[in-house]
Amino acid sequence: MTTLISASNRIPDLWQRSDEHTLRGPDDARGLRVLGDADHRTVAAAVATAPTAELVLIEFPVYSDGRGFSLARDLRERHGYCGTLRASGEFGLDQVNELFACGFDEVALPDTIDPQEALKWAHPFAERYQVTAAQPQPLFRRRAL
Amino acid sequence: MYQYDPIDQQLVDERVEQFRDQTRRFLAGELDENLFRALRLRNGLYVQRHAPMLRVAIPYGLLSSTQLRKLAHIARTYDRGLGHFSTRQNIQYNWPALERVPDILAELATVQMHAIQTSGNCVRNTTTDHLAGVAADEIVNPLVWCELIRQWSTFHPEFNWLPRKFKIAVNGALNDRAAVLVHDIGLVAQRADDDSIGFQVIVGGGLGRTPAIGQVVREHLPWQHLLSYLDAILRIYNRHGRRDNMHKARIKFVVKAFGIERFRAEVEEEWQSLRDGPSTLTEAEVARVESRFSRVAYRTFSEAELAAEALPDELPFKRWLARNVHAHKQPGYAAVSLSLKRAHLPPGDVSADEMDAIADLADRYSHGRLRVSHEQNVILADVLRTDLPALWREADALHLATPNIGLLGNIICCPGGDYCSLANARSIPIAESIRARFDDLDYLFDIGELDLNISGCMNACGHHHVGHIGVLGVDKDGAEWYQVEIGGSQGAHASLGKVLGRAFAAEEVPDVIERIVRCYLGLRLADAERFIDCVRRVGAEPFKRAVYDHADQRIESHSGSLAEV
Repeated sequence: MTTLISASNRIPDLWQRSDEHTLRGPDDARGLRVLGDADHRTVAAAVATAPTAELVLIEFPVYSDGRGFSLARDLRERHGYCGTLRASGEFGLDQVNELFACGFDEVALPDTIDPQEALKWAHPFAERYQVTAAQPQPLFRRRAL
Repeated sequence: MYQYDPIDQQLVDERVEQFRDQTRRFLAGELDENLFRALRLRNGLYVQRHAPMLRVAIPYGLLSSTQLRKLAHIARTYDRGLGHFSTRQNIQYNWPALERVPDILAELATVQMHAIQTSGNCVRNTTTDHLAGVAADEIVNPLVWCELIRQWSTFHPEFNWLPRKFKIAVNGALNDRAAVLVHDIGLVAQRADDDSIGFQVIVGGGLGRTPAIGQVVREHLPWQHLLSYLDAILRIYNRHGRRDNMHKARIKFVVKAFGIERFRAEVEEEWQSLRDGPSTLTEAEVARVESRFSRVAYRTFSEAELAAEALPDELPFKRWLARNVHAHKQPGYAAVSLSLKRAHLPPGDVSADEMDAIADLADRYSHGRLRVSHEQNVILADVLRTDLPALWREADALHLATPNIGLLGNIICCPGGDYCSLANARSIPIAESIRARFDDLDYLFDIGELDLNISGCMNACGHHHVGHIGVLGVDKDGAEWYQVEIGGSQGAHASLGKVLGRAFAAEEVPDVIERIVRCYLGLRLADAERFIDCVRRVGAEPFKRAVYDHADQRIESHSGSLAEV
């Protein structure tokens, strides 16, 4: 049983898997499930197919495969995707902070991760040097001399 | 030295607490061993033959005397009184206890140091010229750019789970002392016609089991775009790097599979979405980072004072001056290498007491500042030339003045099978046996410039591919054997060595090196023709014959004793 968290809370899961590639949300909203190694252009095109997808779930096959991080950023920053981004699959507690920083809104925790611990370590750094979802300006543009 | 501001400090402090909790969870059985391995590696912690090994970052090689004293304190308190300077401007401790590593990191944080990303499949410690900022042949000071890259790469949320490790080197001088052609990304800082700074961007170089010379992906990248362009390259690599075979996972394999044209097109295409975005560097940020580097207030000397320089005429000093003292951009100053290549000691090893003594030398002779080089030596970068005789005497008393920089005695050597669990063979005893064979300084000076590099396995931490002579430890049916290659070189004309032929047993290696050297001495056109130039001129054949034709015979070593082959 997975638990869903946002960057600050446990949240209810309002989406259900229809098949391998699609989810259904509230009011029949459409969601897509893709693997972390999917091509960002293909995903962006699938998102834009009417009715447009309101959730993209990126599946991480194994904790060491970081392609989903780049896919999330490409969807957000290159393709202007502004629906919900959800991470699911295999990752560790200490990667949750990176998922949120790369633009995921919610994370489906594998049952090996304690949600309380995950939330406790969701923001280990008060500041980061780079652009993140929460800080669209890198630190150097916000930093005093 | 870059001085942390409160945010830099806070990040390092937060990392200590994060790692402390990771270690706690692992010891409490709450964290899977494989996952903890990935996490601890990202903090430089290996589990080695005898104990964990902790690799501490010395960002782009700069160190203060205060930091070195802290490293000495850590060596004494948490290790066995020893540290090892690695070939990537890091220091390694071979005997820390796993449960005390968080305390070591906390100690390091008090002097603005850390072990962040010194291992693991992420962006590693950025390296540069050990004479950065002081070299007489410098065009652009790379240090500010190194620090900007350090900050960009530290906890980059997108690039912490790359296919494989990723190493960036920056050079800003005419001579390349940063080995930019054998890094995942090499950056050559340069000035355009209008004097503006930019970078030639080289990708896909590397050593390891499949060595490659990097290729130019962009001839001149204006400095404003440095970070966004790095983002684009890393994103292409993250997306396309192989994840099914760790031996083919470095970026060089993507560059090779795509060809440089397609690789460039992919990067440029990705970059268009990042270009001129928020990560575009600003003059204010470059100025801010620059202002946080402490500067040496150099004395100026009159022409007459400079002309009146009177240095000792004795041979030992002159040899040291010729090999271990380097040109400085500021008249009246010099940079000085303290050689960590000494009899009976592994190359790059330094004791806690020696670290303290070196810190004292730095305080007295070089404004409390030091560098470590990828050749595993320590450099005092801002020494008054008038202080050279006094510094030489003190360094000599500490056995740190062997005049062997650039000579065969300056062997680069990984820790090898004595410590490293990856190694196929020991490398330290090989270095010692070669050093002992070429112990005669007259002979060493007669041979002239010769880089000899030794790696204990094909991961090539000892940079054997770019040694003029490279020695590689290999495993043959459980026994240690050594391949010898010649013709490699680092620098602007970097080349990869070629294996001479069948491998040798450990006890044969000094003889083999001796045969190669004698062959060179017989072939060189003049004293001025360096070993590497001679190899390039005549090719490998004469050396192969010299090594293999009489391999069954004993040769008389230079020191006069007979060596068994």
